[in-house]
Amino acid sequence: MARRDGPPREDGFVGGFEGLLFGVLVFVVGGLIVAYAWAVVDTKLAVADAARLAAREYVQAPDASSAATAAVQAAEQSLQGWGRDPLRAAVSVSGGFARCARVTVTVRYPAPLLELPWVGRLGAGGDVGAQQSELVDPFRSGLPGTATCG
Amino acid sequence: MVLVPVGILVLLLLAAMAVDAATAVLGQRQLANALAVAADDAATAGMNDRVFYTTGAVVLDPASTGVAVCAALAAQGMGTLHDLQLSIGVDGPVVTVSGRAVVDGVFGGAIPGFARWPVAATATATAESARQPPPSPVPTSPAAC
Repeated sequence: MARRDGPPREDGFVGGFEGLLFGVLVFVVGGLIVAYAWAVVDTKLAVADAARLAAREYVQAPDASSAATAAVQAAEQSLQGWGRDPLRAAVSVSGGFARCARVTVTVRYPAPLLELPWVGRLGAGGDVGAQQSELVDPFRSGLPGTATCG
Repeated sequence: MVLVPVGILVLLLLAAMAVDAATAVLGQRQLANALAVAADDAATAGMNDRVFYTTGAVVLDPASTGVAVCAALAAQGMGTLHDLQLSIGVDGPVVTVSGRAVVDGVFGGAIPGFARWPVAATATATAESARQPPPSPVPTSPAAC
């Protein structure tokens, strides 16, 4: 076996350095993809809760004039509770305030591009939406007319 | 040197599985919400008026209750849920709705065995004319919408 004399050479390091580079690249790109996916899931949790609370608030409102306002306020407060800015949310309520009428609330909110610990939410990605639909109780008080559910 | 990218890939796979598990939890909550709303709607819309006006008893009509459950579920944003299997049970004033569905993982396609996450939920609602202690859930049977 030949013995090599002289100063240590850097062939091994140069040959393996791209492994480190590739690892960092995989980590950065993969980390960004996973972080965006998590941001979408987290936003979906927030909007789903907001839509659910808004629909409930609408069907339990005392009268038609306050129902839509109460629903939007409930959605905004829920989003605020999730640390979201209510001004960036789009809340729409469809349906009438009558016995057995179906009310559908849709909440949309832009998911951040990145959501990182200590850094917070950065950028704005695509909109994430959730929808919740409920019937106004056909036997509730405070509404004129008779129920026509079926 | 080779262990560095391999180790990082393993870390990313674990992170992807964590995101997929969160998606499954989200799907389970969506299913539970949808079933709760469906049971709630059915407990009022499915009331048997004829029995109520003749005897004064609050009971649910199984046919109307089934229609109300299906209408409620169709109106929900079910998101990533699919292959929903529904069971509805009606006993007097109590309706119990059970559902099983499948949630597709975001990264699941890349990880064998993690593409589909089964979720299940049950909701019970009672139509009552006065304050009473809630009765226990009733047995359910498969239903198709």
